[in-house]
Amino acid sequence: MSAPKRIAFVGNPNCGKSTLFNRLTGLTQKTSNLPGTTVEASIGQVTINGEKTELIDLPGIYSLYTQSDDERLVVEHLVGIGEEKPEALLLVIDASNLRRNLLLYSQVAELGIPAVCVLTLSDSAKRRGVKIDADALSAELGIPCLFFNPRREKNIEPVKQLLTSFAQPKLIGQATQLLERLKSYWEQGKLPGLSEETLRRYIDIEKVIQRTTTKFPVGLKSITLKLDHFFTHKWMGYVLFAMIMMVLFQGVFSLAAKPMEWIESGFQFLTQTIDNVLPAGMITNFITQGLIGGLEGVVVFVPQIFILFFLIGILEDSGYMVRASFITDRIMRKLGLNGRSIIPMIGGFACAIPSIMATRSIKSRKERLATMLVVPLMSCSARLPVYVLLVSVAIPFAEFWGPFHAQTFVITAAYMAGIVVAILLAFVFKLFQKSASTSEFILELPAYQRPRLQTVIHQAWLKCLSFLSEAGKVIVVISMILWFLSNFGPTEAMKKAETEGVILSQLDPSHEGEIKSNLRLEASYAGHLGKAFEPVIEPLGYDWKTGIALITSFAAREVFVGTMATLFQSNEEDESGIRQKMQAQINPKTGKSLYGLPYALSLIVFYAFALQCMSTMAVMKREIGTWHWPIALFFIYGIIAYVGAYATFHLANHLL
Amino acid sequence: MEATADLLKEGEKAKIAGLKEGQFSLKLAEMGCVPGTEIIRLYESGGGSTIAYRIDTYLLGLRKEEASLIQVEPIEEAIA
Repeated sequence: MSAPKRIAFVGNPNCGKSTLFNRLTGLTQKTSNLPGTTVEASIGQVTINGEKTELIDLPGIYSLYTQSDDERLVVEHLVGIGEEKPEALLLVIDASNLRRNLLLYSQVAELGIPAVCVLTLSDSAKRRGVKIDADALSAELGIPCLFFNPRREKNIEPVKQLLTSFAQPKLIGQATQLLERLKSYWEQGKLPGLSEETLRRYIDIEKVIQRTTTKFPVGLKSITLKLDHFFTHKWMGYVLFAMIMMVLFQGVFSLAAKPMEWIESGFQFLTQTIDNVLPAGMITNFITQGLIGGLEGVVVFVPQIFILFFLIGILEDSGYMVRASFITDRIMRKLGLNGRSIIPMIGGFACAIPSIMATRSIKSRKERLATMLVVPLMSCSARLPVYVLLVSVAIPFAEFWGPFHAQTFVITAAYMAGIVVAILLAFVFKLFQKSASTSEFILELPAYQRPRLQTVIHQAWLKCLSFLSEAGKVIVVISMILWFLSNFGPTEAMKKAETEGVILSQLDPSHEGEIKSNLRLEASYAGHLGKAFEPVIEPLGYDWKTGIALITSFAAREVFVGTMATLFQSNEEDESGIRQKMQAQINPKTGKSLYGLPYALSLIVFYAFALQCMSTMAVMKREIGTWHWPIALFFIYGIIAYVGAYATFHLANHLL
Repeated sequence: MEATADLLKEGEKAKIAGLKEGQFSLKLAEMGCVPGTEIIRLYESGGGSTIAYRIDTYLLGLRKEEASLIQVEPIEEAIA
């Protein structure tokens, strides 16, 4: 018999399903959304007896009566709502957890799709004192069952052969008109008698277990429990969590520095090459400054985002993150969040876009919304270059404030400020929620395992892709628009700037280029825009040039650095170039340096809080379904940023 | 007073007798908290606000409120 064309993998979370999938599909797999949905599933191919078969790895579920939105989409795919259902199923059953896995089986069997079964984790079943007779189980379920350890066993051929012998699964107990019941469960959000149905299923499952397994007694000592003794310890658990987070961030900054340099010098090389090859002029300038500059502004963040999500992935896959959720749930709950919020929140330090998508694992709608609302306050990787540029303009590298390195101190404080405001806001959001919470925390604590590098790398790369596709297009387009705005202006004003430039540079010939370009910029559309914006931001200590940068970085924060570079006509996006030019500017009113410490601190505060990321707002809209929240947040965070920056500027001016 | 899983002492072993009516009793049942299953209270966090149990063969983290939905009874040890 030959294998079907499309086979879906179904099973509980943590049952070894994805590991098996990786073993079968290897390099052929790619990730795409389930048709018509935003749920990601891995799709790959396997060749059996010379014929290609498509395999789909559906996200793990415990029951067809799902709790969260993304689980529901998985089940809709499985039962074939809106499209064709899979031709055949590969059921992955965790042998060490047979009862619970058979609950899902008993529901899936009612769908009437031909299936086969792979029993995984038989070694840990043995450790837990359970021995399963695979032949007896095959007879009970009516489908071939095979023991296979996808982590250890080398020969995958038996699994491939299994995929040619699909059979109709036998029901366990009575049929329940599952499809109708599922529909009314989804329509009404509940179903009378569902708990009784579930318990009845378990009674029938118990009979199957009695006939197919033997138990022998074992002790409670396992490596997992020994490790949990430390990681979930009353106080040591929190100390270890803080240490792990510190190592995580240290790791990100030190590991990402080199690749970021490579990307920067790569782009510099590209710009120079194009400058040399193409004739000088408008078009070349557009390509190097507008287009390539914009691209660089996107690509340069990939190392940081990849490394942070890679390290988080290692922690997740090893089983640690669930423990972090377990120990932080109490605090999170007081803030109207959930222990599960910790993963998206840490991810927010890399990039809010994939992190907002990661909130899908939070079952309660309110807690999920609250988590989404605070994620953008975590200082993401796009804020770091803004912070770095500003501190390097305003604070000498060698300066120390007491025992602290001044530059590092300011940046750390900016990160902390984001966290503190997130906590306060979460609390305020909670106060505004009237009805009783539907919050729950029922989470399996899987056994610790060695992280699977291939899977973790793959997942981290997917997160980078979502950043590249969501943020990338916005940033590139904005960079190109900015280039036009700063190179063109009202004809009159531009002409006047030309003549003035010629006259003024005769007085100071050594700064000819700078004088001319400054005047041109002032006369351009961008200059007009910035000037129009100036009254609003003057109280914060900003000039019209900063105004332009603020407007453009409402598309994405990192555009600030690029904009400042364009505005100060620094050909390479080299910080020291922009820095020197910025330091030379004098505020005509105060006679002090225009871009001094109060200015820098005020801007850092503004950037720490303001929701300046169109892509984040777009993703939030997609996840929540309305623009209300992203727009409300835009104003709430905007006001906090404005007030905070105002206070910072005046306080700093007063004190310094 | 009725015995529920949140009242077990650390390391104490019992048998699940049933689930009280509650918003999350279905979810608990799906996760394997069914009558007859062995349950052991292991460790807790946040001053007892979340508690880890071993249910049959695997570990489950629950809040105190959810644990209080699980009715338990002592295991009748076979007399050797």
